[in-house]
Parts: sequence; structure tokens; C-alpha cells
Amino acid sequence: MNEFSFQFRKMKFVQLLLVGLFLLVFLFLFRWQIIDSKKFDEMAAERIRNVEIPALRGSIYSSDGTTLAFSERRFDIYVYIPELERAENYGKQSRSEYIKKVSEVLKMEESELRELLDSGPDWIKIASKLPYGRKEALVHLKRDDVEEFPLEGNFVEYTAERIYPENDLASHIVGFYGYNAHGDLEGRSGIEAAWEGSLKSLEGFHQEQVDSFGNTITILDFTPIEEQRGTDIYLTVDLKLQRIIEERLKWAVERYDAEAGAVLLMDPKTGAILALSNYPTFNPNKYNKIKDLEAFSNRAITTPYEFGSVGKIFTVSGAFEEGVVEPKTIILPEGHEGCEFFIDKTEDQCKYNLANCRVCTFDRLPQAPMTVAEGLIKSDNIALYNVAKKLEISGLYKYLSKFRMGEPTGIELFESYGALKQKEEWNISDLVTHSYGHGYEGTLLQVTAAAASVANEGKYMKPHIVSRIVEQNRNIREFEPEAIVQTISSQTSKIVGGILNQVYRNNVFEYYYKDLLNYDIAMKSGTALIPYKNKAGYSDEINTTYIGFDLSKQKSFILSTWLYKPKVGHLASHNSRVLWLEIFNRIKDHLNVPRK
Amino acid sequence: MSQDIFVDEQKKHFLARLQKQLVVILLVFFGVLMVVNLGVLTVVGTKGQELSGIRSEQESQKIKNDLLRSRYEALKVSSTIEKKAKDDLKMNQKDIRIIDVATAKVSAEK
Repeated sequence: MNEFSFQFRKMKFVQLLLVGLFLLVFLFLFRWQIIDSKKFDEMAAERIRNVEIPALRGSIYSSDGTTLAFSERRFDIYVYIPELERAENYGKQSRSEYIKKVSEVLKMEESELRELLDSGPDWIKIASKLPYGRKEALVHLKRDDVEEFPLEGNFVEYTAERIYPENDLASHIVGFYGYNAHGDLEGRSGIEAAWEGSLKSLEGFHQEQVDSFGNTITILDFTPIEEQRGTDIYLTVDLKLQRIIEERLKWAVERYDAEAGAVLLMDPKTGAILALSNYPTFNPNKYNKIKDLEAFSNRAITTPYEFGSVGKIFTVSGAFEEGVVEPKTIILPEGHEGCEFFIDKTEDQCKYNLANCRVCTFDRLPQAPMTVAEGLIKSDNIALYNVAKKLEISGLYKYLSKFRMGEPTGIELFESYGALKQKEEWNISDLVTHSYGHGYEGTLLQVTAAAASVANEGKYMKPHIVSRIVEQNRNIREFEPEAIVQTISSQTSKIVGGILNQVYRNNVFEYYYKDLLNYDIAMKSGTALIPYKNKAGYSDEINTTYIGFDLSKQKSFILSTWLYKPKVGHLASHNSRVLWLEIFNRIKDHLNVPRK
Repeated sequence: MSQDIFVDEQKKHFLARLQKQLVVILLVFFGVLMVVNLGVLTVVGTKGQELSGIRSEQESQKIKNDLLRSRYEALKVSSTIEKKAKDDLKMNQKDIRIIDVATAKVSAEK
């Protein structure tokens, strides 16, 4: 074999080697690109990490800045079983070592943790809402074999705990944050629900490419979402007043054996809610342990009811404003016999049920001739019917509408409201019943806001409970008081207030409360039978309501009390009145109500 | 014949030169590969770790911030203030008895 042929064979060999190598490369490429493509796609996807940046829900504060609700950062701990097993298989740590160390931090029995770890194949949640300190202790647990290496298998997920530090105080206002029917967390009642959109935080998000050690290589090229803390909400509620009212309401509900009760305190000049309370109540920290669902009911703003004689304020105000009567107009020149027919009793409809045709006073006692003012002071249904007759259906309807009966108040909470029959549907019976506050319904908030306009020179202020919000970027939005309508003139409001002052003076007769006579207050009571739920007519159970307001120049407050189905006392003056006076006695100094 | 030998010699020479050039090219490629690899590892790898560090520090600061805020919120609570007044300032809650002026006068006269 000569030199050339040797070189030629060498060339051939190299040629074949290269071809072989290319074939090999081709085969590998074919395998990677075609056969194993899915596997490599998944591996590539693992190199893209979604990073969620947590943010906390906004807080809720009272008017003095006391925290009513806030969120605290907490941590859920998961174990990824395959990773735990891998660490065990490589001899890095043993299962018993893991269980011993972790259970100690989590303050749980070793057997309990072992059971948990055996309960599933992949991800197992071993701790919920762990505070920061314990989470730190857990992630810093070290292995026995190499002390500076951490115990493997644990994964931390951010979560938060909603805390209501004042427990059941103002719980119907604040509401609670919990799981909805779809298993998602959201505000479920009160401010928490009505202001969900503002309170909720926006989780930040971006994607990044990581190396096999989990280190960031680069942040991927798209606009990341910045996390945003929820907006903070400041309420108009004065916690000191709220505390007094809640304590007294509970006392009254128990003392008068009522099924429930509600109290509302408002600033008539601005419509700001200073305190709002319902009983029974609940602790939002333990909302899932409440068995009686009635406890969640914010009756004061969601339960319309017939408030009875309190409505006489609106009838008389309308009549004065229209000029159809004056306070000294003798409305019953011959007095009455306790009842008066408004439909001839010989009519067919009266034969079977006299109640459909006559109006009576609560005691059905005869009365001497009386003026309009006396009719209001005595809360005489027959006198009020005669006032309404002068106003006629159109007049009474006009003023009830002006006082916004049948309309929501517009408060920044989920409210219900009582309906007012359309004028065209009214008949004589409606005129009669509506004249003394029956036949239509309203929530305690509706009736308080309406009466507040009488306290505020006829200006109806929109009730509001949020004074300002503070956004994450420290932007502050203040909410100004909003006048909705002039219900009556300032002059009429003064006249009505003056008459109601006499009602107040008649209602403060116990020696214990005699100091309260040194205040200029207007007051009106209302007792109404509760209609049956499933049939026509009224039961023997009652709603008792009292409303009173400051007549001084300060116009510092309007306070209304409502007891639902009290068993002790059959008139508002027996129970709701005492509750009203009890509260007023305790709040007057804090509100700086001027003495005469 | 002599011409054939000359051609063979020429091919041999050409192949030897080609072989040397191939070796040089391979070495250069290998060198470039190593440098690039080192470069990537040094520049990108280190920055990645640095970036991860910054991110994790940022996250931990946010969490600390959240925790401080929660602590601050919890301090603005009446029960906390009451507890502080009781424990630190040794203040105790007492019922206030309001003396009725009229009654007090009667008692004094008696």
C-alpha cells in the first residue's frame, strides 16, 4: 500500500466519521424536536416563573382613627411530597427528622403531621394563616446532615387574616369578610361588602425566566402589574357614642324582652351617622360560628316596618307648609268619642268589619275639642285624619314623597326601603292610615333621615357613613355633606319642633330623668301592631319607635330607638322611650348638647 | 510517471495543509466557545443571582412593611390602649356615680 492510498483511506474514514456524526446529530435532533418535544416544552415552561406579588386589603377606621378592621400578613405552608421523598431518597433528611422539627414549630402532634403527610400524593397544606414569626422559624429549620442547609419540602404561600380588633363593636356597620358561595373571599356585609371594590387589593404580577437553580435570568418583556394595597376607609362613626348605644340597646332588649332592636344617631346638619346599632349582634372575627342568622341583620337600614305615629310629624308638617291648618286651628270642634267613621257605617264594606271604616285612638277614649297642636301632642289618630282630610290625598302624598318615603336614602351601605303606594292607587282608607303613620313602611334610617330634615330647618341631608377614603398613593377623597331636598320651610320646621318639644316635656316625667328637662328637645313616639306574615290583619305584637332631636341652634343630634316585638310594655312610652332617655342621658355631654 | 508522483506530492502537501488549518479552526472555535460560555456564565449568571437577591429582598421588605403596618393598626385599638393604661399606667376602671344635685341638697339639710 503506497502513501497516497493510505491518505485516501484516511480521508474516507474521516468522511464516514463525519457522515456518522451528522447522522447521530440528526437522530438526536429528531428525538429532541419530534419525539420528546412535549417533555422539552414542559421543561422550557418551567423556566418561566409566574411571580405574584401580594398586597393587603384596605383598613376601616372610625372617625377618631381607631382601627375597626385591618388585614395582617399570614402564610400558608404546603409540603410537596415528591420533593420531600427526593430529599429522603438522596439521604439528605429522614421523614422522622422532618416530622419532629416541623411539628415542633407548628405546635402540633407528630402523629397528626404524619397523618397529614400520608393523606395525599402531591401538595399538602400543613398549616394555615401562620404568623410571620412561626413562618420564619419554619423556613429556617436546618437539616441534621449539613447544618447550614435548610430542611427541604416546605413551600410558603402568602395569605392574609382579616382582623376586627373591636370585636362586635359596630359590627353591623363594618360587616365581615368571608367566603361567598363560590368559595371566594369577599366582603359579605356592611362596609366590607358595600365598599368591596375600594377595599380589595390588587395583586401584582410579572413573569421571569429562571435558571435550573431557580435564579432569575431575566424579567420577561411585558408590562408587569404593580401590586396595590386596598383603599382605607374612614367612617363618620364616633366609637364612644357607638359603645354607649350598643350597651344600652342590649340592656333594653333584655329588659323589655324584645326580639330585636336598633338605634340610630345622626347629625341632622350633615346627615353623618354618628352611631348605628342593632341587637342581636355578632363578632365578625367569628362570623362562621354564628347560628342565629338574624344576628347579621342590619335592621336599621334593611328592614322596613310600619313606624306608626312618628309619621304624624310628616302629616302635620305638610299641612302647616301648605297652610291648610295652623297649630291653633281647632281640628276637632266637638271632640270625638274614641272612634270616627270615615265611611258611612251602613255601607256594605263596613257591615262585616268596622275597622275598615273607622279610625280610632289607641285607648278609644272620648276627647274634648282639640287644636292641631294638641292633636299632635296627644298623638290623636282622629285629629290627624282630620288634618289629612284638609291636605287631601294629593297633599299628603306630596309631602310623604318630599320626606322621601318610598325611596332609598342613598347611604353608602346596602339598604332596603319601604315602598309608598302610587298616588293614583290611594283611596280614603289610605289617606286615613297614612295620616297617622300606618299603611306604609320605612326603615329606621328612612324615618330618621326624614325627621332630621325637620330638625335641620327643612333641609333633607343625604345620610352618609363614610367621611373620607385614603388611596394607596395617599390621595385623600373627602365626602362633603349633600343636601337633597327642602322638605318644609325653616319656619314650619320651627313650629313643628316647638310642638314636639311639648311631647318631649310630657315624656320626661320620672324623677331620675328630671335633669333632662333642662334640654330643648323635640320628640315623637310611634307604636304599631305588626301585620301577620302569611295572612291579612295585624297580630298583637308591636314595633315601638322613639325619635327625638336637639332643638337648639347647634342641632347637634337626632336619635331614634326601635324595639321589635317587646313583650314588656304595650306602648312605645313603656320601653322605647326609656331606651331613648337612657341613651340621651349618657351622650348629651359628649355631644355638647346645650342646656337651656 | 514522474508527473504522477508530482501530483501525489502536491495532493499530500495540500491535505497536510488542510489538516493543519482544520485543527487551527477547531481550536479557535473551541476557544471562542469557552470564552462565550464563560462570558455568559459570568455576566448573565451572576446578574441573575443578583437580580433574584434583589427581588427576594424587595419581597421581604414588602412583607416587613405589611407586618409593621399591621402592628401599627393593632395599636390604634381601644382595647390595646385600655390594656396599656391598665398594665403600664396602673389605671383601673371604676363606675362613676353621678351625684344628683337636688338629692344631695336634701341629704345635707337632713
